[in-house]
Amino acid sequence: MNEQGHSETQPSGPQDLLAREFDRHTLVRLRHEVERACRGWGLTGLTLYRFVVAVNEITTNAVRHGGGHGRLSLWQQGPRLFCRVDDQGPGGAAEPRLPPPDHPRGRGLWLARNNVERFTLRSDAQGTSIVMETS
Amino acid sequence: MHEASVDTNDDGALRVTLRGEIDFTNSTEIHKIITDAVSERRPAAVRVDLAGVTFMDSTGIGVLVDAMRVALAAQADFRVENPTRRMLDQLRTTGLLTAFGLE
Repeated sequence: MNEQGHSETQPSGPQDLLAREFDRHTLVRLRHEVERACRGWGLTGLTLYRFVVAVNEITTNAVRHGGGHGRLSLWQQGPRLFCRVDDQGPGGAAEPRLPPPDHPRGRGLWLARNNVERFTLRSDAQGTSIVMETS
Repeated sequence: MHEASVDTNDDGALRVTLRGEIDFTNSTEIHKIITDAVSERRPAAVRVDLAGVTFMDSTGIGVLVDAMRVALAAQADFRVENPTRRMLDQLRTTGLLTAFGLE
């Protein structure tokens, strides 16, 4: 949300941009907040859109399959943006496959993975944690 | 439902115009608007105009796939038109350009 993200005086440690609990009712508002924060940091154009799409897929998955709610954190570190989403679900396929063109579902995780620079998924008995990173 | 409207072109094609943000929270309604229109009007062709779409998630993409399925099941030609650069990127990533008549 500030102009310091790309300045040369930025601190080397992580800086929080956004932290929110969310559920079905706050999904859209959260997406708008994430977009504003990423744009404020300096993401633009297709890179911004791809990142927002990826984050939205993962928060939507949390609401639909991860216990109905989750927690999102967005931060910057060095020249990159990171977004972490935690929920109480079992997580998705480690390597999702693209369904055939006539299949209406199953593209969310694929889209998220392909829209970010790095995608890390960890699942255990407590739930799933996904970290997405953009350049 | 301001995200979706349905008209019939002079040539008899069903024209579906989508606008704004299409996501998990409104895709079920949009799906119904399109499938109802196809089954009621039995058009020879279905065109989905994406010029006004500012955001679409994977459930919105699923609505487009479902629209294609009901159109083809009704022997109607199906095509997606006027995708923005963002939408074109998304449909390329999800492997749907050919199925939607965009390449």
